[in-house]
Amino acid sequence: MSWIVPPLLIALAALAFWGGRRAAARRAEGQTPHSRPTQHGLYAMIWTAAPALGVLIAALTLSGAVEHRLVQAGAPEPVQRLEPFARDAFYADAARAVEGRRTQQPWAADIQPWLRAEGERVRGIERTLQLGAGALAVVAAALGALFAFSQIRPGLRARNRVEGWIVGLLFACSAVAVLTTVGIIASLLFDATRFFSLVPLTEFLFGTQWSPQTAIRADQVGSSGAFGALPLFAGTFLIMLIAMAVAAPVGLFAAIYLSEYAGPATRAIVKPVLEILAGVPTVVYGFFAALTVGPAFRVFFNEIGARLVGGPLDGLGQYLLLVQNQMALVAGAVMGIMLIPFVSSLSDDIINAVPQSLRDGSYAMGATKSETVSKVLMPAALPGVAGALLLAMSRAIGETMIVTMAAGLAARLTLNPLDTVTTVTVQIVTLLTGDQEFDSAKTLSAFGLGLTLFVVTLVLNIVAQQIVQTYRQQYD
Amino acid sequence: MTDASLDTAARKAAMGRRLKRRYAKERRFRLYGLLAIGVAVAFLLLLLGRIFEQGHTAFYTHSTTVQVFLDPARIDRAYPQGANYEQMAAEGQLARWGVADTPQLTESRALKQLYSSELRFMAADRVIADPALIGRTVTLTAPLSDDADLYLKGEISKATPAAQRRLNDEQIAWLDRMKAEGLIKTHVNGALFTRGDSSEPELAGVLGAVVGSALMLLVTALLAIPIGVLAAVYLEEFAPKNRITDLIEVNINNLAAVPSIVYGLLGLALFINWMQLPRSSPLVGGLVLALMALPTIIIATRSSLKAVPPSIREAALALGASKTQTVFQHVLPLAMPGVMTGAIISMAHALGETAPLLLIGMISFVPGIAAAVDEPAGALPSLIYIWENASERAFHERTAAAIMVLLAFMIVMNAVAIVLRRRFERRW
Amino acid sequence: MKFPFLRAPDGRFGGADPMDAPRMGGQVLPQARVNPNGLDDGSDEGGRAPNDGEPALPPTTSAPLTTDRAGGPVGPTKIAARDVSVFYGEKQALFDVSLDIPDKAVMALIGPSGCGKSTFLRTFNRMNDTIPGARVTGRIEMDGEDVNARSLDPVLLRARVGMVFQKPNPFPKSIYENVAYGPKIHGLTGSKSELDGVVETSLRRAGLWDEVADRLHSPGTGLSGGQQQRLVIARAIAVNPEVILMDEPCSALDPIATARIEELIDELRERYCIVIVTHSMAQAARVSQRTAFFHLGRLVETGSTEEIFTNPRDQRTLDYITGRFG
Repeated sequence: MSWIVPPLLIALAALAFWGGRRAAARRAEGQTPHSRPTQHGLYAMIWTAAPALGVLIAALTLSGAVEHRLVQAGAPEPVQRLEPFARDAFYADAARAVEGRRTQQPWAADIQPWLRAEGERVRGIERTLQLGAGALAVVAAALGALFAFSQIRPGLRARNRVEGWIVGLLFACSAVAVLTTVGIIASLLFDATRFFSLVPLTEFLFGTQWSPQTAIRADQVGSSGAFGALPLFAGTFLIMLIAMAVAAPVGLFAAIYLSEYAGPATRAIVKPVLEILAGVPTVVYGFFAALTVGPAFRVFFNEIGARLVGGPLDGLGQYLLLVQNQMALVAGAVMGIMLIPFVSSLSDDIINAVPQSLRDGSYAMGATKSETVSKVLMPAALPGVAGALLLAMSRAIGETMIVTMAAGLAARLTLNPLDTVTTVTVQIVTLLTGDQEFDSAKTLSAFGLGLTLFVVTLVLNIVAQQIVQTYRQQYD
Repeated sequence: MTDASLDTAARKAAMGRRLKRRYAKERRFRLYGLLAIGVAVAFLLLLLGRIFEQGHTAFYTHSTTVQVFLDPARIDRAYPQGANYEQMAAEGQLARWGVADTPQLTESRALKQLYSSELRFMAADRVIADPALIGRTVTLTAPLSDDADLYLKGEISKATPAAQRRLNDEQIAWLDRMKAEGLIKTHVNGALFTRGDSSEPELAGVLGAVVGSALMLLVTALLAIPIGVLAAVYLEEFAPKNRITDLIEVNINNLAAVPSIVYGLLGLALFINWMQLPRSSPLVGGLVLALMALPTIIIATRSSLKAVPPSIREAALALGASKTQTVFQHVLPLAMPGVMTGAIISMAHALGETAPLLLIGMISFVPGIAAAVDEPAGALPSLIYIWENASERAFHERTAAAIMVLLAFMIVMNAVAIVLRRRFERRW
Repeated sequence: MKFPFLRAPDGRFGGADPMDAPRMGGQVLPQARVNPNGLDDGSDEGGRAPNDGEPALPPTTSAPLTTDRAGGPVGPTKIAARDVSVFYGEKQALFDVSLDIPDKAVMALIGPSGCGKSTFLRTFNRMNDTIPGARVTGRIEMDGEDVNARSLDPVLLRARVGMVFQKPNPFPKSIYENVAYGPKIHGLTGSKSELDGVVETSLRRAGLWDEVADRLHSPGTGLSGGQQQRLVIARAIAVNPEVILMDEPCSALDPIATARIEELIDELRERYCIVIVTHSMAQAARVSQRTAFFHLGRLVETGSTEEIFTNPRDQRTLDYITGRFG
């Protein structure tokens, strides 16, 4: 039944438009009206559609939560006793039962009979809510239309009102962008504070043991988890360092070559190549790292190890024979290559911002191109380049797919690139994908990690942008 | 050095000597630049080449012709789907070859492994359609199992020790025999494009993920493009230039640089846990991606709007147009090419995002094809992730093939954006 | 510091700036009664009193210095240009220019905007090479060597020919590092103390030492416009060039800074060959011994500065000097 609401509202809005236009023409009574009839029509249409839209958006946002509460409140006792995750599965099966499909899970004898009944009840609640929202929307539309029609007269500054609505709409759209930030911070903070009430902040930030377990049942032995995230920070840092070691020199030199040395032919080939590299999704890089680079590096180090065994560097050789596909070097190297176009295009902008007069001054002194670049241009561009590198570091820290597919899960506090490490982002993915109870400290720790990640990248980004801004102003 | 210390000739000589070193340094420096570019180009070629090399084999597959004797003793007429048709086919084939079977049926069981489980459904469908077939022999062309397919593509070799292989010597011998007898057909792997995900590699396809991604991008585009463009119009044309708008600009720049996984956390907490929207649905995925694409679209639109010269605005205002009319009837249409290009490129990026999708549930196995935005669906990037983690060897080539499909979509979108830009860009 | 204004040998102009008196005749038309000794014969048609309120110039005999500027002693030809043309892609900017530039003197290149003066200047140190699509034909010789010869390295050439640009462009380094840049890259000094000496000498010659001696390591960009331009001149001098090219060096400076730079140029010309491009005819008249007038990419007329400004042969030169165009 509720499918009828959107077409009905559209029809009402269209009616309001035509009606408003005619009413404006009729009510003109010979005076010159301020605004054209079309604008009166628009005025009426907006007053019809806007309240209805408001109701609908509110319904969309809130109905989920409201329905959830209603369902829970009226649930029969055996269902109430189920754990939240099982309860979700129950209601999913209840919906299936009502649709005549087979249920996915076998249910205990005291629960089974309730499937259909609860399914029907939930459906009833859904229907009521939808109908209620639809009716409310229609009523709101009608009220709005009435109001608008009462206002239509020659003296009505309809065009200004309509434009006011338009600007209001524009403002609301930009508010969405602001609200996103608020939303991110709020959602992270909310769940992260719940986490930090379970695990103290100092243990999280400085503890060196990361094995997130929580008791599934209260009587489980050995259930206390350790939530010291320091190994995660170390792993993230290590991979970021390796990535920057690859991306910074290659990206910078590529940018220098493109802006100072390359001819139009080279530029025409290399710039698209860099754009393509930048556009490749990170999941593809991850696939490549896991299935090509990982084994290749492992075989390479194993070969070296095999040659060293039995000689003076026997210990090193033995170690090299044991390195795995998921060593930090693999993820770091591939991430570095992913960052090359990023560093290169930012550096290109920065180098081009250095005024030509400095280059001319240096060439006029008889300096070669490399001397001009290394002694005049790069020192002049240094703050900008530093900002660019900070942005790249922030990107490296926040990167998820390459490390999830190519790095491991072992939380180890090490700076050895041949070790397997894990990062903050990998842990967030691992903790939240899998059969999890939502309120446990284990899953909440993902939000703690998320908050830390957000704060660190935010600080890096703000500092980087400040630096680049100051640098640009110097040359404007 | 004063005038007196070096005369011109000696000075020239000293500078000349040093010059050689300086030019050597110059050549080295230039070489480093070339090397850097070379690394980037080489890596791209390596990446694309490897993906093509691994993935192209997924585009064709092998099927075999089997004759299944529909044994009435083993088929329950009330429930034909339950019969073990593969076993009947294997036994029949062994009989035709004259190979004896053990009492434990080890031989036929081993042969059975070479057929895909699809065989069962094909046979069952035949029986259900025409129950009169029971007792007769039907000829079916059914896909081979993923391991058999791999062997025929050369991925499994007899040289590896038998313990490390997925097929034993006997099975390999049977496959060779089937091939020699002409029972094996090579054809385009239609399943890859017409079916959804499956736990059996030979039956797995990307259609479900493609439809899911398409629905998701639809939601994203419908939300992010209008909201983003209108927000940028407000910020660029209407908002007063004060500290608050400066702060908003900084805020948007920062949002564009927030890691994608944080958006995933936001989606999880807001859309799934609070608003109770269905997990793993294109609706939620589209909402999250829209939030991610929003800052990029705002930034691109703003720069397109900035590029329109103020003289256009002044001319319109001088004719008596209101600010709103000026913006929507003059400025925005002129900025449209840049806006559209930015929007298409944002969509192309959104297509490739994976991390947030994993957190909102798209890591689960979704076999069907979604029909609406609130049904569970897969997405191409998360499909690639899932298949990459799969243990069956045959998924390797299919993952690479899925990557090729994804890259193809992205190339098309980027090409459209570039063509648009070339055709409609104005140089003020 | 007062600048003696333009005087003709016959003292007829008495300090008038030709631009101030746009009337035809009077100051620029050839006069029948030109006194070769530059004696003031008292006739002052069309002239005005000098701006500094001084009475008309004393006769030449009591002020022999007046001949120093106007056609004073110049050295032998340092740079000889023959049929030089410059093309930017398809567009030709300079048409068959032939000019001799004397050593130990200041040569001014004047003309309206876009007439090719800067382009011509840049051919001397091959700075046009840095512009993609630029092509130079003709022959330019410095001390008899072809400047464009393949065997002549532009890097070495630019150590012999320094350049000062319109907008002062010190590097974002310390004052010391700016001046030391040239000697360092060319390897002209052996030790730190030698380099210190070179820096000091250059700064002194540029007239900047007294002002910056105590803050040699502060950034060069922190100086005022005039000081920056003198720093740039010091930087150019530090490699001990033979020629200094100046492309409108004072156009971004205020009058006081301009005056100091002009003074400096006058001192420098005793050591170096200086070629200066300028928009201001007054400046050309004040500072140079030879002048060349360019128009639409061609060299119209060249000669001693006093000749050009008092007795030009070409009508276009006359028109430009009297302010009819440009």
